[in-house]
Amino acid sequence: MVLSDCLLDIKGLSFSYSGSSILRSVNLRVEKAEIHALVGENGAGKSSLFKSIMGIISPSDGEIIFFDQGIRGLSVREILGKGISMIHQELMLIPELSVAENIYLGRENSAGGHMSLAAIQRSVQALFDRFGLDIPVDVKVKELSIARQQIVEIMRSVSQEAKLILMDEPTSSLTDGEIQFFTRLIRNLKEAGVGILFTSHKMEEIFEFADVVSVLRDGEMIGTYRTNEIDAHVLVEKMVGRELKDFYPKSDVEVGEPILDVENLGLAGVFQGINFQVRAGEVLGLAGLVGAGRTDIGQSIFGIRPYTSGEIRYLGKRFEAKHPSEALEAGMAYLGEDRKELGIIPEMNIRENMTLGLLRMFQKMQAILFQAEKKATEDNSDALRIRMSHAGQKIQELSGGNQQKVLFGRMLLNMPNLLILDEPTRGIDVVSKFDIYSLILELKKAGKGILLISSDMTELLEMSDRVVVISKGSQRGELNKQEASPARVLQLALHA
Amino acid sequence: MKNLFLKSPTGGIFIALVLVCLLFGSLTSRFFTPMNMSVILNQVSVNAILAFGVTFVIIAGGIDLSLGSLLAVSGVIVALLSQEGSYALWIGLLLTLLAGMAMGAFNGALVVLTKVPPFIVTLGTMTIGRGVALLLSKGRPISDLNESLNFLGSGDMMGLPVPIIFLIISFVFCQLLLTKTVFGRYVKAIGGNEMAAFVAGVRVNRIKLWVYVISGLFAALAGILLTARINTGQPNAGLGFELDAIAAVIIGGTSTRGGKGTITGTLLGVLFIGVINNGLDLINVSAYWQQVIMGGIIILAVVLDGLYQKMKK
Repeated sequence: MVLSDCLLDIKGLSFSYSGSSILRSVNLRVEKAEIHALVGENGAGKSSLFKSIMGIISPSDGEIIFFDQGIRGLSVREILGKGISMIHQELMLIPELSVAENIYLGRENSAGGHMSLAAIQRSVQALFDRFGLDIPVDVKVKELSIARQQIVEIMRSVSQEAKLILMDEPTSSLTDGEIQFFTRLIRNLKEAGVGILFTSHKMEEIFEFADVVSVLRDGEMIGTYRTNEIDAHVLVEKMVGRELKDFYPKSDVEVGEPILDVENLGLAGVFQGINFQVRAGEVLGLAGLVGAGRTDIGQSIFGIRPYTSGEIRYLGKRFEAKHPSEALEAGMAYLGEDRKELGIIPEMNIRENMTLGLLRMFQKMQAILFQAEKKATEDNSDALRIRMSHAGQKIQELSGGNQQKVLFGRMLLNMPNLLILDEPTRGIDVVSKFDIYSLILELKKAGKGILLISSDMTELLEMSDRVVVISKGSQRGELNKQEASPARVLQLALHA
Repeated sequence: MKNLFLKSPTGGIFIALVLVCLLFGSLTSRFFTPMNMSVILNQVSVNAILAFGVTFVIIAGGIDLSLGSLLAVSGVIVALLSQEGSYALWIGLLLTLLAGMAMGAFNGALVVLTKVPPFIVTLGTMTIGRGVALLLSKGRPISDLNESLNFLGSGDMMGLPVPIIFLIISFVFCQLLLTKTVFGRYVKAIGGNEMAAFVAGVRVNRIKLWVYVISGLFAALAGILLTARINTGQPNAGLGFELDAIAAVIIGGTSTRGGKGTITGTLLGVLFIGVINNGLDLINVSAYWQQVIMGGIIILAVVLDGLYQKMKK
């Protein structure tokens, strides 16, 4: 056998679950000191692939070779012992223990006898020094930021002499600054010869630090590409399996009558003096830092937190919603920034979630008209291309992107004139994002007015026709499409 | 068919109920007799009616500890209105049910307006209710009741004891209300995620008020049946009944955190408790041991159901 740089070699791996194929004869190679990104839509099989490698689930066919040794069929514990570890999205640290104790958790009594806390701390300090980390080893984990906690978890794998680390969406909960910290660590690990296989939805970071990227689609391996030989656009097309013209679709839409007129709007102690107009066929963006009052403005218009001063004119008439149901009946629709908190009822099925608050459309006296409800939700689900097995499926079983589409389905059922969208694409996969952008364009063409709130600057500027910038509860300016550059928006947003 | 059964959320408690029936059936020949079955149903009818009402409260994410006291107040009111030679029976019944709804509305209004947790609110109204029952009755049992009221507690109609007919009607009503109406759907939504339901336009406060009204209504109905059965308005009636009713709801698979639950499950939970009480009586277990055994079985039932739900996944 030839000595190679191959760390992990997966050949013809298949896995099926209750009759459906999740992985179909997947091949994948990870080299030593390679940063390898794994991308694909939600449900493409990424987590099943990870779980197969870790021995959490049993593949039906194929080989998994690690350091020229077959590891398929070994237990999770044996696989960890071989030098593969996995960082889950939810961190598995014990918040009340110190950094050093967490790193040595379960190994205090190793072959060399019991290790004192001081010995553990020295050993961890040496490890951190080697990687240039300035995290104190004796503080409790709960006192660290999420990013640093994640690094502690990665260092635990390193201290267990992991040769290959699998990471499931490692950057999903990190801020921009923290990602840089994380990136540095990943590069250091690469220097140390560790292979890294990670999943991500963020194109920028894939191209920033991955060497190669593999694409999974519907359980099949579409291919592995060097990141310097492929661009983001082509990569997304490989993931979706169809051509995408422009990630932020646009077309000229004629702007019509004003739908929403906000005059000197205020909510005591939160925001004041807000003035803007949303017209038919246009997207008005609300820009600003998190906590600037953008979300509160949207909620005030919709009656979630009724405004206390100023005036709203909606479709030409004075309008004041004291409760969301009044806004709904007037033909508005609202999407909250946090899907889990303000959007879905996890225990309920797709149909029940889609018609929530709108049952007046499907009722006779108090009785629900189940046939009409079913038909309307199924038509809607087809139109939105929601991936589900049936409308009676619990919404919590769907991916984030599909849950978000169900919430869009709820908005569309109300046939709104005005849609207030707060962070409509936060935390969802790239394909669902594209679908939602396309939908926003369709709504524009149909003459709807859209108020878009987003912290994703590119998204906000690409999708909006005009942008109003909010800072500390006050309006700092309104920019048209030509004026609205990231720098100009940020300058206004930071204006104290 | 097998699949349908496995998927049902009440599969676990159903199996448990069958098992305890088989157990008592094998221990004594007096268990599986038509007479005994009718006795069990008659005995559980008051608890069942309380439990059906409070199922809505628990699914909506609340709790109602005042049930037993509301039952006592209602029992006293119906007794006062049914004294020999006073009002016609139907007027007494109607006013008592309205009083139950009003007391429920008082609970609901406090929960909605003060934002005090329902556990505390209804703990308070539990004590208030008991006091009101004693005040109205001047602390004494009220007897000399109308004959026709007594019929509701111990008469027969269409070959069935009247309380069982009330049990069946209440079951059907609550089952339809929970599964087929807008109200029932929104009760589940509020228990599942109150904030999301509010943002989606559900009139959360209105629905929450109504679940306590329903709970009060059924407590009043239970109070009427109990007074009719013992032919006396007892201000001390129903002590601790709220706990039996809540236990039945939880055993029946309704989540204490709200959001999911079924009326069928509650009925099975009520029967489970009723069968165990009845069976232990039949095999002459002492009343003291009955309580110890009952408590243990309740915990065991919920633990086993948890395991069963996990197994299904």
